[in-house]
Amino acid sequence: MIPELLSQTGLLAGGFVINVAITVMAMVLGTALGAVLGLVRYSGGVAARIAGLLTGLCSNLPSFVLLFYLAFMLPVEFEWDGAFYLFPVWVKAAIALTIPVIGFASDRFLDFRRQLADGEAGADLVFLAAWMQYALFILMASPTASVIGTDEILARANRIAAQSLDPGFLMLIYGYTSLWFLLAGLAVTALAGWIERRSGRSRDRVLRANRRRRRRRQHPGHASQKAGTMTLDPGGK
Amino acid sequence: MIALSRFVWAVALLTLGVLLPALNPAAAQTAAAAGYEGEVSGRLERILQRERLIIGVRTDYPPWGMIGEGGAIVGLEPDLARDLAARLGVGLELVAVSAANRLQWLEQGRVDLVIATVGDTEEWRGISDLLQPHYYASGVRLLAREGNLFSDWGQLRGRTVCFVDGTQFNRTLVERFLVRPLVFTGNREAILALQNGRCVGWAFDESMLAQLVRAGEVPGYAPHLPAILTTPWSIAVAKGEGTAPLGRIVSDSIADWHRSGAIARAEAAWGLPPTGFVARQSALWSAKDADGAPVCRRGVDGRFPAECLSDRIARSASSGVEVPPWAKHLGGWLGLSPDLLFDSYTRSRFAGGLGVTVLLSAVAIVGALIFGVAAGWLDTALWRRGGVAWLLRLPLQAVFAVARMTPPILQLYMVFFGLGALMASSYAVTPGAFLTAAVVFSVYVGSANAVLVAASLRHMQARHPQRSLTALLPGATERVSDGLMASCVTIVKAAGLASTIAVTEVISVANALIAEGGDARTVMNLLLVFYLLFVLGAVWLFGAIRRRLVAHRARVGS
Repeated sequence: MIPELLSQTGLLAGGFVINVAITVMAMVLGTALGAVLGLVRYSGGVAARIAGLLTGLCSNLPSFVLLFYLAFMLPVEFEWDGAFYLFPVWVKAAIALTIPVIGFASDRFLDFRRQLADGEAGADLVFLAAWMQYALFILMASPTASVIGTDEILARANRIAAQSLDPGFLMLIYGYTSLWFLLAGLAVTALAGWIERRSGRSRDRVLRANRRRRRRRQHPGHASQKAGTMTLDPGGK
Repeated sequence: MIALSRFVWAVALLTLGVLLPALNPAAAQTAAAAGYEGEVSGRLERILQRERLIIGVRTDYPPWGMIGEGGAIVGLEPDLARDLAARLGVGLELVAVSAANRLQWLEQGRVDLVIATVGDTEEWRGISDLLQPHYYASGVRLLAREGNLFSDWGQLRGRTVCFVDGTQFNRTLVERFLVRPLVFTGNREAILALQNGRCVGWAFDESMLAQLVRAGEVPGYAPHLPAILTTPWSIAVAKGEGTAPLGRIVSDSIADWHRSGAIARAEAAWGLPPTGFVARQSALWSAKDADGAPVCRRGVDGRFPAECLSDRIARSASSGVEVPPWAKHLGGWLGLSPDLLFDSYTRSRFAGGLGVTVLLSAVAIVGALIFGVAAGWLDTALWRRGGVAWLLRLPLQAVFAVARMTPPILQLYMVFFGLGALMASSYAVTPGAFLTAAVVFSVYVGSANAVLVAASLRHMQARHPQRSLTALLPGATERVSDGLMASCVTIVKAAGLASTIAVTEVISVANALIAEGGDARTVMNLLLVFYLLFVLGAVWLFGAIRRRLVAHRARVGS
């Protein structure tokens, strides 16, 4: 059973590349659009209220529902320069996962901008650590793309599992697929933890410096409470 | 799969030699005459201009249409397509279509005609022109364990039957025989569920079931019960083309196939059991009158006699529903179809789906809170307690890591199909889909909760070393109530994943309605609006509960 499993590694790895591609596209697109929304919200006024509403919409729509929504609503193919092209399914999945990223990035950029205005150092590292954790969350959501027909790792695992009727083999193939995600998850968490520790150290240093400065000016300052209580948790969002 | 494709290839090779010349009695003549000579107008004009016939066929429905070795589309329907192109003396381009897009592409003009297992139903007639005579007919049978003694569909009343989305008989079976449906998105899931004993049988298209059994895909299982709800299959052309030259040529070709017995031969060549429908059609179309002319031939009005055609068509979704005028206006203005909301069957199913979604979320939220607080407490209790405690804590940490760092959809599959099958073979019990989903979500989100609670407990312990962990637990939990609330919202958003293991929550209901011919735009917009309201409602409710709790503790504290 094990050699059979290992012989499928190439196929599964190819599928995992699609999962990573979906994640990267969703994170990049979502961060860019979310940054715009977040910065508009910081600027205030009517535009800020509209941006806040859009952020709420993006954060509260489940990506799994959006996946089906876009699968049905986006055209199957599009016309360009007189020729018809198929709309790739994995792109539909990436767009569905972009929407929660917009909500996340909008909130984070608003925080980030406020922290900068408060003169807090390390805000960029806090942002980066949270961003990586969110990317991990999106990676964990990416196999749902298989339900609308994306040929990613879970779809391939399903195909391999279909060759045998043995439930033990089924467990093995799904377990092996999980291992890919688990290793990616541990690596990202370790990296984000390291970044957060660094940011904590540099923040402490700057906070101490600020306190000294303020004491000298005899001005009661306020330390941000938000950055310190941030949770790093891929499942909890 | 490998075995199947080899089998298919072998059959395809055998067939090519035998079938093609047999199918093309007229082809040689038309080809020799260098193309079609007759009235040319409409779509046919374009086909002859570009010298190519574009036909939509299936690639996921062996032996009707599938991908052969080397990536070419092969099957019985592609063979029919080839014959039509030969009759017109033009080239052929086959385009893969699915059950969902076949008529849409036809109406958009991407394909000239569709030969893709289209059942002649009222809904499809509303979209495209379905040609007669029908070329095939297929009903539904039940795939179940060999040796089962089912003799009548009525015996299935109240039992769980597996279905696959997108088949026209699902609704009728549920309504008429009161079976409990377990609806999956693909054939593979339905087969796995059947093998795990989650349903007594899988109700599906008889020709496809016969093919699966023949190909050895489902050892130990056989089709049971007589085929019912037989639906004739039509070749479809775009609206308006049915009476144009293209429609007439195709209709005449189908009549020819029946007369020459070509369909019956194709059936045999592709390993399908002979069907009474094909035999009857063959007899009907080759019958001759006293003068030796075919009884079924076009009259002076250009039509076939009514007795040669079938007027009995099936109904697969909401038709004949009374919609009040105001709803029609509103629907027209929004671009949506209000029929769904006024069909009591779909309405009650949608309401059932909403109920299951809310219930599943509620059960999983309670489960995740209980698991989170208990596991967080246990983790802290075992923390820094030496060797044995360290060993005990290890599996707990492993559960946290796996639950938080593997995709939840994979966890559902593993527990439902993998663990469920192992339990079925060892203990002869299988947890139901709802229970499986509730447990998986509880542990998935509960692990995140546990990590939060444990961190908070450790923090409190450091500040109050003299107090017991149990005494610190309420305060520690309250400190992380923001995080716990966020994870409750996660469950509400993730509840839809349960549709992948056939929990009949609102997403599976929505997909089933679309597959049965409901308007996709309407169903999907309804679903989106429901989910937005559901999540916002949940966020508001959790916020209200939290404010209440905090106020209560403040009162008690002072």
